[in-house]
Amino acid sequence: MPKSTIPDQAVTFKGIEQGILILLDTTHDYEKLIKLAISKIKANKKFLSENTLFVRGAASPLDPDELGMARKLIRDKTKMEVLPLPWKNDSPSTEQLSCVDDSIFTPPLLASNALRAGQELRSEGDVILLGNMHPGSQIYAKGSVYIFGSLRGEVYAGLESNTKAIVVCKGFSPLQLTLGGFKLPSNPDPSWLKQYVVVSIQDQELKVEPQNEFGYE
Amino acid sequence: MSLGMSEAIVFTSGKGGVGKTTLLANIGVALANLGFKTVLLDADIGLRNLDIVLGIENKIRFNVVDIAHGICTIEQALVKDHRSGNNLSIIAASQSHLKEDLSKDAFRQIILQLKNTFDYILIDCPAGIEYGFKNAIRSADRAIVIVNPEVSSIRDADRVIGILELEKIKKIQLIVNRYQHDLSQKMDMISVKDIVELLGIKLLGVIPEDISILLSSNEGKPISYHNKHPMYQFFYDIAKSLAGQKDLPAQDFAKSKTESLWKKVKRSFTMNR
Repeated sequence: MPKSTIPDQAVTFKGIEQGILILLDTTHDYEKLIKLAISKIKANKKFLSENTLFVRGAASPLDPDELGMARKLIRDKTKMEVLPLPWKNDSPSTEQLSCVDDSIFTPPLLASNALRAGQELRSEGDVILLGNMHPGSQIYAKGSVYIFGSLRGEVYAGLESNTKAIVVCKGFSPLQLTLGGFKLPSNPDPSWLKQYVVVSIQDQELKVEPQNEFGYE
Repeated sequence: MSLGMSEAIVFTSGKGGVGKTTLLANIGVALANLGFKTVLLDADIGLRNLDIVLGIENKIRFNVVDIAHGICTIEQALVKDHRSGNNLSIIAASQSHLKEDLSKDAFRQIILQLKNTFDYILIDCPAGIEYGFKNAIRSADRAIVIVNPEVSSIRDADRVIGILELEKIKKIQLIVNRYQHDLSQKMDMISVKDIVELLGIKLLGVIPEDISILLSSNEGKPISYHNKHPMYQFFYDIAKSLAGQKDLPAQDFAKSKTESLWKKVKRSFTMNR
């Protein structure tokens, strides 16, 4: 049951090697928690603006939705960017790479048939699908997703805020797509179904880049 | 006429109401009239329909669950449809049991015994992907997936095909039912070509939307018994294709648009990929 006010120590700041870490005690109401974090950032803006800011759950990891919400609200209200700091340790220089390292050193999941409605693929690393991805199917990957066919299902790539992950496909018409915590903001352009498409995170935005058209009969 | 090798073919769709039972009845009649000993088996336990479509509900004494529970023999449960000579028989589903009352082993045994007598066993599969569906597909050598040209039917068909592939059913073919060429030309309906591309399986046939199919079902006299009816040829073409008889030439369904109704429905769109 969320309390009407939350204690001041629900949001704390910790100095780390590469900057300042904002720790959120997610046992409290999450919206109130973010509001408290925003007010504390504003109160210390001058000092904090000279450092790189990171955010993490104090007692348990933030899920991608929580992380996305925190980053967006803090950015909107304070004009300051906070970066995710994965759960494992306090060293951002290795931790920021750890999501990418995981996908490099974890062998990709390779599937060689069409992925049909109701089927899903899950990978700690990348996913490579040698076939079409049909509507009603799902792919979850901490790494990148490469589809040698059309993408018409739901793709959740770059899980745990891996913003270095990409999605590549031959024909792009997802029902839903999330990459590195960023959601595809609008319905896909129908012309993308006839093009090779690369999806990536650039400048804190999800970019869909159609490439060449292929002969699609 | 016997091919020497019996085949159990399941008619499935995922989505209900796409025309499985009606198509199965018509194709079954066509196979029987082509000389193949054919049995139609209603596996939709609890929601029996096949006997209604064939107009034989007053002849049903025993059903497939009765066979499984040892209450009767297969011969006692078989109902002959004499309109097809001696070639067509039906085994009805139970109206009062649940799907779980028919065990998969019992069902498999029934299919194996039927294979001793019949060239073709056409299994009317229940809608959905639960127990009754899984029971029906496990005993099949071939699956025919029925789809209507609309999004939810195609999605459900895709789900079903995925399960059929996992069950290692090697022959999976598609029939597009209730196709309306004019709507497809106006882009108001998805085309057969797009459906085949989306689902990625071989097309066996296309049945146009026609009110007479519904009317004949209500009468209990499948179209395949009306050899002068324009729609008759569609079912016979599919039956011949199933039986591996002379390959039908692929005809462009699109060309039929401006032709008379008679000529229009004589063309069937069968693609061999």
